[in-house]
Amino acid sequence: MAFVEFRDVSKMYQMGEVSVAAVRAMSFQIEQGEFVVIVGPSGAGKTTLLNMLGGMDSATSGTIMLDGAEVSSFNRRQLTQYRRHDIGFVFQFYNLVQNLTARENVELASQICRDPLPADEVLAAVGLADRARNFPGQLSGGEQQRVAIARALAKNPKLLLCDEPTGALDFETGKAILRLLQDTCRTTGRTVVVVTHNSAFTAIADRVIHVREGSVAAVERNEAPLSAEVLEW
Amino acid sequence: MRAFSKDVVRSIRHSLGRFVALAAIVALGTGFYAGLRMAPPDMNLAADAYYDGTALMDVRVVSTLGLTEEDIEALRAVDGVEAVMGAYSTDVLATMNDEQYVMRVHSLSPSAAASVQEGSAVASDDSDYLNRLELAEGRWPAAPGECVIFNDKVMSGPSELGDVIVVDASVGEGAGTLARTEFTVVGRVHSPLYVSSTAMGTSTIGSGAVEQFMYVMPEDFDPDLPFVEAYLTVAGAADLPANSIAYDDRVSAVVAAIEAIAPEREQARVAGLQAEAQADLDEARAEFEEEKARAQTELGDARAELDAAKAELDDGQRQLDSAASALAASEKKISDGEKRYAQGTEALAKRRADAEAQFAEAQAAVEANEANLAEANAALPTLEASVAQVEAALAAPELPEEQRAQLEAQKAELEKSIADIAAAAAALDEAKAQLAAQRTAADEQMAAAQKQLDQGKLDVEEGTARLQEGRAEYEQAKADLEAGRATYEQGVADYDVAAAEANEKLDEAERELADAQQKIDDIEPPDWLVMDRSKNFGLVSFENDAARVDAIASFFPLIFFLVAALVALTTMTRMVEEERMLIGTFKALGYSRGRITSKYLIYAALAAGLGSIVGIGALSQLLPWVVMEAYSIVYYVPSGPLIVDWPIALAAAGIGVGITLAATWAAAAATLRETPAALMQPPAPKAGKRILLERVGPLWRRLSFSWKVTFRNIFRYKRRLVMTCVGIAGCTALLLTGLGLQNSINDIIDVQYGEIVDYNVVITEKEDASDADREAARVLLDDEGRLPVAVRATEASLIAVGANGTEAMTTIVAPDDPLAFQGLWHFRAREGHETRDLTDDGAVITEKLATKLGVAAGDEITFAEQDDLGNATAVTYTVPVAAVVENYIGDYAFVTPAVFERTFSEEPANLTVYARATDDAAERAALSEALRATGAVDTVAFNDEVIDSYRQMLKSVNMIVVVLVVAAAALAFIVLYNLTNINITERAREIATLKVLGFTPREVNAYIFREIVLLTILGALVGLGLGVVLEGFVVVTAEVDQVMFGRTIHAVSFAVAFALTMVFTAVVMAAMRPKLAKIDMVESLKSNE
Repeated sequence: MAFVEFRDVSKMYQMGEVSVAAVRAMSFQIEQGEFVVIVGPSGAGKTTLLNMLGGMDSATSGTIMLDGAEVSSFNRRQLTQYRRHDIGFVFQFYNLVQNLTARENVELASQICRDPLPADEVLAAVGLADRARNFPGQLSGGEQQRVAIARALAKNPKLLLCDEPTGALDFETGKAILRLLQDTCRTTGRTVVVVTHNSAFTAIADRVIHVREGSVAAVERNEAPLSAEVLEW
Repeated sequence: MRAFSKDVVRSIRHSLGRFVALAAIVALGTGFYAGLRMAPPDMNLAADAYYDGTALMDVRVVSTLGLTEEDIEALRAVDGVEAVMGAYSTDVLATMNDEQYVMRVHSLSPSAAASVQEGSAVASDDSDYLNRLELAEGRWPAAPGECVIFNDKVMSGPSELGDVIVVDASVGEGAGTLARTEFTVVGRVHSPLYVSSTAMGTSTIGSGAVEQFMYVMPEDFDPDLPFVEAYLTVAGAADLPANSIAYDDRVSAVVAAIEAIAPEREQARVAGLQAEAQADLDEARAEFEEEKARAQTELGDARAELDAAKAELDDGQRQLDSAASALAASEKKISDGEKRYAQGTEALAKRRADAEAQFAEAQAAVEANEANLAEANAALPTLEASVAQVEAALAAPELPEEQRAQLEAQKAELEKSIADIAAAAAALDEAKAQLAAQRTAADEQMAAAQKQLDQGKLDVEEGTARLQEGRAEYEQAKADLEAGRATYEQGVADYDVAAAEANEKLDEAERELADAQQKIDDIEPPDWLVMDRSKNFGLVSFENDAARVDAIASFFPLIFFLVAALVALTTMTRMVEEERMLIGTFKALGYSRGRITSKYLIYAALAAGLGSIVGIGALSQLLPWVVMEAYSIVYYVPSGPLIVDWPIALAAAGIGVGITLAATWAAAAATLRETPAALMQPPAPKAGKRILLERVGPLWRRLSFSWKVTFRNIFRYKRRLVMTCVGIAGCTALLLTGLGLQNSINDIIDVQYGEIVDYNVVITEKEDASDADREAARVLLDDEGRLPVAVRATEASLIAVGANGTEAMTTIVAPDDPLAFQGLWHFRAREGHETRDLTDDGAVITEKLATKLGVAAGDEITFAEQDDLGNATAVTYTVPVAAVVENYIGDYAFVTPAVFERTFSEEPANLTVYARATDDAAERAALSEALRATGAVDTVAFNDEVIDSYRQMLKSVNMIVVVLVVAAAALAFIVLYNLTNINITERAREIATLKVLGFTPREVNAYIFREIVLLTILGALVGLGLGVVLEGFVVVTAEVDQVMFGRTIHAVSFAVAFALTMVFTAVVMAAMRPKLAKIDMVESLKSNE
């Protein structure tokens, strides 16, 4: 059985009288330890997909399975616990708590879950050992995103979900972040899902899921993914 | 509608919560300010309407010698005087339903019955009918002996129509001016002279305060008396608002005019009184002279009679004296006779004895001779024998002659002897015969002499008998004379007494006449006291209370305005921040800075304007109403229209809108200075900053992030910190003020009667009670079964004068036994409760008195005697202050009897008894009854009555407490709602992040609300401090004369104020939770804001 499985997942939004489908009968599978890139144009439904996978939103119909658990049937409370223990999230705009230092932002996450990784270790792993005591405002965008990744990783999640993690970063920094994510996947065997509109990223993925107009257009396995270091876009 | 205007309208619609919150805080600020400021004018307006409607006097004239009809006419003639009403009044001690009251009895105008009530106004055809009464219940008195009394049942005791009021004729002079002592209550009224049921005026009798009033028909006053007082109104004064400067000016002009005619009227009154009195006196003198002459004639007659008696007596004495001398002569004769008889008897006896002796001698001689003879006779034979022998011998012849011769001689001799014997016998017989003859002769002589003597004796005895008779007669006469003399002496004594008495009486009468003359000559011109309304306790008290509200009004709303400014600032800052991009867009579109700013200014102005209108509109009606309702418990001033005072309303609205606009402008200015390009960018997030607390490593390390974030956030948004702190502090302060005020006022009773004093009854004895009555009362008072503890004391009412000229009516209490008294009245310092002792060092005075006069222990305090009207006189006494003690009701100075004597040079009279009696009502009533029945007791006052009346009075405070609590709650809600609202909207991303991270709703709530709770706690703590200050201010401002409010806020109040603040916070948080739950992770995180 696959680590992650979407079976006929749909998400409808009620817009007044009309109901609009953001995601329509989506099905795909992800294996454990894979570096997955979900790619598609704006409005294709990839963020909705990610949100449902991350437990931030629930599906209107269909089944979402993670590691044998049926996420799609979770109630609000179970979803909270799911986000808390099983998911690490990285956003385009980092969403760090401005009033906490880098280390504290990491601890903010690790403090609430069952089996966290030591904050300092994680920060060292993302290369920010010496900026641990800085506030987000004192860090560059890339550094902030590293903190965000460290925060997601510190929870020791089953799944690391990244929504346009390089979207607000310059090329070099973006690449460094991608490499960090790829390295994390490779070295820790953690399943990483990156959502992006940038198809260049597909080259470094183990599995690429193409999304278009709310449906999975194609799923391809990349037998020889490139290192993020050599990526150009 | 222009697009820009549409945007303004839509901004409001989309942020209705914010708009309403802003409007609400402005409404609260402006409303409170306007409402409280308008209460005093409304009170004064209501008072003015009531006073004018009842034709309340503007000026009262009292003369110490009364006012005549001429005086009334003279007053009427004074320029500016509109109407004049002469009236009688007097103070009496009266009993109604077994309770004793100091009552002021007024004469009821005959026009009262015909007056027509129109609301709280009273119309009458008689323009001279002033101080018109409003009949609340029953009917007007129709016959002498009927009365109407005060409709207040709280302070003036319970009563029913038909109750009989009995005036105690033995107390004061008041009863003497009344024609009767029993009055039946037929109605109840309100009098504008008595708007306050707690300040009805002072009296010289009883407790010293008027407790009830009564209007009786003028016929019930002694018809011989002149008017006691005149009430008058000033032309045009009614058109001026009461208590205004214009009114005061108008009235003082008339007061001055009356004072100008006063000397003349006073003199006229003296002249009139003197003439009247002189006529009386002259008549009395004539009568006296007549009496005197008659008395003197009577005395003269008595004297003459006595003199005649005296002459008679003297005559009798003389006769008696001559009788006495006759008696003495007789006595002498008798005694001479007796003497002679005795001498005769003695001489006779001597003669007889002599004769007997002679006879005896002769007899003896005879007998001797007889014996000799007998011997001789016996010898005769011998002789004869011898002769014979001789013869014989002779015969013998032988005889020698010699012998013969011898014998012959012998025989001759013998024969001679025989012859001798014969001769002797013859001689003896002769002698015997002679002797017998002599004896016979002597016996005869003796018998004659004896006979003579016996005759003399008889004469003497006869004389003696006669003498005794004469003497008895004499004694009788003498006794008679003595009796006559005694009668005479008695007569003289009687006469002397009668004469002395008569003379004394005459002298006294003479003196009295002289005194009366002196008095007439000395009649001092009366003093005219011209008093305006400021001398009426109730009216002044009402005015002062209005002023008190004003004082509080100028302080309280500050909190609201401050909070309103802060709320406006934070709210508008937030709004401007939220619309940053929009502002950038407007700028980019070419709108000017002013135009853009105007959007926010319009938004703020609309909110503030709306708030002002609603707030001022509602609270300017509600607050004056609440204040007047609260005061209506002690004041009878029917509330008038609650008008909107435009200057105040506009000032309030101006301040409210002004500060909001200022805050808005400040909030918008900074943002608007940025370039459109910069505005299009998200604002640089406010950088996190280390706070001071982090330097306390051990503590900081122990905190969880949520706590760290909380602390950092608190200090990150300083404006919000200040707003919340001030708002919550204000809320807590208001709560504490309300609760503390309640404590302060309840403490008056609770501490005064629970901790400070232990007596529950004060009994005063009449000064002029008879010894027997007093003894009867003392027996009751000394009965330990009835009064286990009782201490006698001397009381005096004097005016204490402070260094600053303040005057305070003070009760001097000099307990007979200071130590025992301290068992009934605990002297202690308010702070620390340290006991203070009453010693000979000086006076122990109560705290409020000390504060009022500005004296402390070690200073001196001066007391002045008061005149009949309660003004200080020049007679003063000075005492050192030994200690200042906690006390809440009344101004007292305690001294030992020694200090009393030393200070006032007066023996302590000890007419007051402080005692602890049973709590049983029936026994108490029996005690009062028994004490009053003795006739020696003036008043029996149980503390319970005082406590009850105070409790009633204090109810008014509860309403104010409610207002404060509601205001506090409103403040807390607005501030907290704002804070939470801003917190949540501003930190939506943060909250969404937390949710994404898997924080449970509870954790998210805690994360956000912890900050609010901490701020609330901080604010509440500041508020407790602020509340202490605020409460202190309110207490001191609201304090009334003679009463000290408690100075401590109870721990419970601190706890309740704090807890209530927390409850308000909890309510706001509970209300805000859905909003927090509604924050959508996906939406919030989607874009860069």
